[in-house]
Amino acid sequence: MHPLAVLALLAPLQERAAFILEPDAVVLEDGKAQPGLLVLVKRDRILAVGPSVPQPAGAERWRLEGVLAPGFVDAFSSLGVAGRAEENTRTLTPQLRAAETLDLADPRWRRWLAAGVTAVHVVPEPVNSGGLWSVNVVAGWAALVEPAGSGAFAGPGAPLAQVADPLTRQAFSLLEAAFGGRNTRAGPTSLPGALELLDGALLAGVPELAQRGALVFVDSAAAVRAARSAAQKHRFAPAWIARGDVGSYGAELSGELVGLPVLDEASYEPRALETWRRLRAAGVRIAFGSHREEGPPPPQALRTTAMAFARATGDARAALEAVTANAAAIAGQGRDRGRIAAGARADLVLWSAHPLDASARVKSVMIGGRTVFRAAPREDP
Amino acid sequence: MTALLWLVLPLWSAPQGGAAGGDRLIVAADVLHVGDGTLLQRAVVEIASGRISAVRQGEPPSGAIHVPGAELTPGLVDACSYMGVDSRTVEQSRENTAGQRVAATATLDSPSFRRAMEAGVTAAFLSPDSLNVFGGVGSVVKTWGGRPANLFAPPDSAARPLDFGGALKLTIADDPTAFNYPPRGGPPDDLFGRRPTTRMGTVWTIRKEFYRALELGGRRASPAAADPDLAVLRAVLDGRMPVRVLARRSHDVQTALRLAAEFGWKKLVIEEGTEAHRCAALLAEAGVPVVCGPLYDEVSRSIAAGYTLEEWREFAAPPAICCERAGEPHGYEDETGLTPVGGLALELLGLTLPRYGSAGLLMGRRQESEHATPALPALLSRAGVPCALGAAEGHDGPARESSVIHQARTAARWGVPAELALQMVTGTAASLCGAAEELGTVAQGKAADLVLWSGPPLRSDARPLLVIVDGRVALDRRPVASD
Repeated sequence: MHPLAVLALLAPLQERAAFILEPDAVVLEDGKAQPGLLVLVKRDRILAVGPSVPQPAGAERWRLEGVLAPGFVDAFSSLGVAGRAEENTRTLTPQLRAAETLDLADPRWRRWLAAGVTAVHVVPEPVNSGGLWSVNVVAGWAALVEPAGSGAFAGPGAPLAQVADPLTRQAFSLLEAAFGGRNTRAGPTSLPGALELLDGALLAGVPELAQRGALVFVDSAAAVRAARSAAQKHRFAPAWIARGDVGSYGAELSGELVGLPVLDEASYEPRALETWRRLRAAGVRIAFGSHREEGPPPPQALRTTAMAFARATGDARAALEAVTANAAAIAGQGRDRGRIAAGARADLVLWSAHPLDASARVKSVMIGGRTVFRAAPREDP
Repeated sequence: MTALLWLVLPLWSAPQGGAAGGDRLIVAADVLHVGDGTLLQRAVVEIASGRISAVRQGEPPSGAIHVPGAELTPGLVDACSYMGVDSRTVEQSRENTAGQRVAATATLDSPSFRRAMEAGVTAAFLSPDSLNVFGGVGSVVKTWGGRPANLFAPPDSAARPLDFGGALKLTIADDPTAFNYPPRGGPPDDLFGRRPTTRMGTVWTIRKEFYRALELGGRRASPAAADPDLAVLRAVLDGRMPVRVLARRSHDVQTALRLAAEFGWKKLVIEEGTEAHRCAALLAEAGVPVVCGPLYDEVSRSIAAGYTLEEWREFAAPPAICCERAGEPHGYEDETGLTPVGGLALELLGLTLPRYGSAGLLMGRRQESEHATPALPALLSRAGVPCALGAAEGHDGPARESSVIHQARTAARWGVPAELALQMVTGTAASLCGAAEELGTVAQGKAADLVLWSGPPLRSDARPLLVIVDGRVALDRRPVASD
């Protein structure tokens, strides 16, 4: 065999050996950048975090200049969807998967990776706005995507993303905007009708729903109450995506895991920030996602929304949690992603400062223990 | 045996259905309108744990709430209300949605409830929308005391559904057929291309569903138990649930009476009954009461008159919501969600846009109110038909002139004796809503819902000074000098 080919085969294995990261600081679950910590990574997992970690034989020690933070997770997104992730012809589509609509060669994956996002939760379209024939009460499975190829391929034609989990949560939509009045020609025309359809679908059985859970799109208090009782009756765990004017029904979501849209000019309203404060005071676990009807926002949207949240609420820990741990929980991977702790996946981003610091920029990104992005070095003035 | 009593007594004394503290209140008034047509002079009402514990006469004790010249009434009961209910709460893809409960999907923290409470209404019967023949199960709610889902609403300002007083709502009017069209030489375009399109079709739908409930319910392991719509119809046929029929024209009222005789409905209440005075003798003979819809001095106001200019101005310039400064009180937005407009556009909109949250109600009222008269309750009560008054959508706008007390004042102006008019919005209203044991009169053991008025409540300048719901003070506007 050609010696270079042998080396090429060995290279991925060498990357998977254990190594110890020694950054300037590590951002732990309290949101603060703590200096003097080491991170032991083996294969795709973090084995230990602490002032001293076990040193396996042959482990390299990498001295990094910067702050190590968990990669951002986009809680609900339409990034990379080719066309629209909705099936217009039926109301109940539990067997459809958002993973099938993805364009893994979309150049936007690379830009989001460069902005520090290590996992994107792509959800089916909750509003059947293109079709007049039905609404999507049961919309199908959402998928978790890593915006970096697996490394098995190299070169211009390689995919820029890979699907990490094609079945994360089943999406249910109880949005009043989706059904109402004469928008639908076949029904349902109201929330009670949509609930009957949902109840029927759940009675017929949705495979794997009990293990994986559901993601419910809501925009009213009645929808939250009804979906909660359906979840108790049919025994599945719901996570929520709140749309519309969250302030008008937010107290109903107290204690729940809720995804909110990122802040941009289209979604901003005068009491958006106060709504965030009150949701947090009501005990809502907030996560941010970039799904918008007009397509994905700029890649920095998650980080700027987290910064706005930190400023509005004064709580940097909750702000960072909203784009890391809580977002990973919405994607059904709360233990594996979104935090730097023993047992979690090694999805890490090296920043030049604390990620919520306005001057911070991404220096490198690691997904699953493999460095997938290095920023071009910039000369600081 | 005594050991059992010790176990049972704490259960009996537990407060029912209310978020009441253990607070004791004593309210004294120069005149107490009991709610069943009687008056008590120099009355003292004691409240404990959300219930009325005693009603007696005497001097106001120390520590009692007392305003000289004020009169005390029970909390007003709105016997027919659409607060928080609109066309979005009714599933129109089929005609029989009897199993859907309006309390599950009504907007319980709508600002309408607060407006109603401030006008003295402490309980309301939420009637399902009239777009379906079988609208669903309506229920009685307290207008205050529930925890609002709105983060910006004051605490306890949401409505609280009660678990008694439900009634099945049927509509025998133009409303359910409002948007249906018959087949036009091809398959229908949408779900509205179906029956019923006429009154015969509407009544046929009612008959068909009741006969289906009769047939299926008679068998063992009946499918009626599994189907929530048929389960409600079975409850009606067994006499466990009353029926409310929205009927405006006199022939519709007569049809309702015929259906009641045919299926043996134990309790029937006619809602709105705009022309019920034309068949009052039949109603009196059958013993069927009527909840009169909103009355207006000017008959044209009962027909979708639209908002007045002042109401539009208030919509266009609502109280400012500023959330960036800490400590400022926040208003919560009116749920109509209107866009502010100004000038000529404002006036044109006021002429053209309907007041109602439901287009069916709009069209039905517009087409069927030729013989509407504000003397309806007077004519009915003279014929011996029990009557109550309801404000329907009267609390949905900022103007208060359609609230229930104004309905009573209009009724009194048009021929109802004063005490009977007040009874129509308290005691009789509660009994027509199936809540006679709990609401409607000031009597020992009932829920502590009281309103203290600044004068005789039927005077047009009387306003509520104090509103107590379930033994807790919901509104306190007493003049500062007293007490």
